[in-house]
Amino acid sequence: MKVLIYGFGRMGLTHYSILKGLNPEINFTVVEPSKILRKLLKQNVKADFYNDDSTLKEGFDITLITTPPFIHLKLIENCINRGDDKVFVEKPFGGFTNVNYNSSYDSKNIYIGYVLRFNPCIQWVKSNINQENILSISGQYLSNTLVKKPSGWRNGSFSGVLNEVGSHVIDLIQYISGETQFDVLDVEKKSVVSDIDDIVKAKLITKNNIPISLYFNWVKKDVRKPLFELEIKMNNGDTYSIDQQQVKHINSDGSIINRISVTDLAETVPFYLRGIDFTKQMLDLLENGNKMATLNDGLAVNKLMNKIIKHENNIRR
Amino acid sequence: MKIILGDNQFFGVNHFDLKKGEKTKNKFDDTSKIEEFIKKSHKIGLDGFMINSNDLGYKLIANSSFEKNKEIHYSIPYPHKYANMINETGMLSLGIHVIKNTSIIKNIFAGFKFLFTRNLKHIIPLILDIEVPKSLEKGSYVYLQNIITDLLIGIGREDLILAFINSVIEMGYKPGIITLNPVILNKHLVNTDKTYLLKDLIVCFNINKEGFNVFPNLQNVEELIKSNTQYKLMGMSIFASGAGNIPSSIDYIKELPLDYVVFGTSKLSNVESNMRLFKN
Repeated sequence: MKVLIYGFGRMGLTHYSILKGLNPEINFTVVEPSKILRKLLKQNVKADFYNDDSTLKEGFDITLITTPPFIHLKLIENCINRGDDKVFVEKPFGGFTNVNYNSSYDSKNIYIGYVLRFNPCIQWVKSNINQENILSISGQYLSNTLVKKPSGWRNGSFSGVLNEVGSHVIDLIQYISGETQFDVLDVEKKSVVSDIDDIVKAKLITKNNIPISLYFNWVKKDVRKPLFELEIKMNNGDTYSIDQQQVKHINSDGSIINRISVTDLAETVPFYLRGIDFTKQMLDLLENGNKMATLNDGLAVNKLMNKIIKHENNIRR
Repeated sequence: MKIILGDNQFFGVNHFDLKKGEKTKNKFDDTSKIEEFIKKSHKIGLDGFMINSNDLGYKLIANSSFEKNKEIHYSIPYPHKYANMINETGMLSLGIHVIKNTSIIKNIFAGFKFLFTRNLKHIIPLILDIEVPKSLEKGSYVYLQNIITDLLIGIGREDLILAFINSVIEMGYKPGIITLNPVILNKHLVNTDKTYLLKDLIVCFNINKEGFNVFPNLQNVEELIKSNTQYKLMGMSIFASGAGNIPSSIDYIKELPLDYVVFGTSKLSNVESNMRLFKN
């Protein structure tokens, strides 16, 4: 199997390591523009390294685009022209400005890397609640990711808490509810460490009148480990409270009906790195991509982010 | 079987309940509170403690002293520090950080070797120089954290794990490796001709009767434990991150030929009750 990776930053390295851990026979090609990084990698990582893809004419079985989002669109076109079989693009595909991407390519072979879908608790919720009975959803993501002001593209419009972490929660809401069309009712944005959005709060309503509230904060100092939470209220008064580790099924009187934790689900993977969901995502990519976010899913996330960003352009300090 | 106090409770890690973890972190917000808890645990009968090289852990080891007959198991690096660094300034910032923060003499020797060969094994002594406090008692254990171990296994650079073990021994410490892929790591360790590296080595991995986060699966890891390895074995996550029934979890663990177990708790009463169950 031939796999191409564009960009060998943290995500490129993670996916490389997991794929190689799952299948040591994969032949890797890496396109990495940084000369210093390339020289270092050549001595330490088994792959063919290129500074660009101009000489790569033959198609690959799988291509992973793990570059900054501003170059996603150009690279995906290169993949299509070369005839690559499957293309995996790290989230958010092109960022919130990419809302009109239209490909002649068979879009079912393009996958967007929304890895939280593969969390066992999310998979349990997906299988066990009825989308039609959802009354409202709130989602949040808290982390202490930014300690100092970032440099380069990470301090520009392709980054920000909404693009980088909020997109995960939006994808989960779409994945669980099946809702992809939203009206934005209210937005608050705040810049704390970077020059862009570090805190975003939004209220939305779906086409089917399901109210959604969102809160994203990646400068929350008292959080050690990133935490995402979803709270799904159902028509019968029950609530599902979900995070990475557990799902609490709560009665309308506040009593817990059931608690399902990742320990109850106790899933295994043949090779583990950074979280069971990362390996499950790569296993899905190697197989049929059934659980992966599709191109259309990714574009729907971008469209909503675009509406949120444009709803209120002044970032408050 | 030696019993070691884990460190997750000191840093707000609770794999079962994230919010509970955050509350626990507040209980141990300075090194004196952590030191007191460790010393009281030692009095109850624990054989030592494990601590990570994050800000609090580094300060604790740099400024505190512990009974000589108790073991210190120090793990490096603190992964979040480096992950944040990459988020803010990119992959190459790691190299710059290492060069800036190591001693000149170490930089000259190891740095030149690294520049000539670009082989990452020459940078390992520099990282150890940054992450291990000078005051860490010689003979203590220094572990490589699982996120790095497992990344190296994935990229096929198990030789760097052996280089880490070698560097730790050269510094006068005993080596430890934390991994969530113990069966894969074992395949590489049994094939090494440098068996002297395995003499004092501890490999630390998840094991619990629920099979939670036991990879690739419980049966294969149990087989590994019973396979009479040339190195020592330490079980972690023995209570399945709080999901397991503690007495039956300990009964299960006691039946396994492990050299060490490590468990974390924020309550001394739990240390006492767990010790009773281990000793009975």
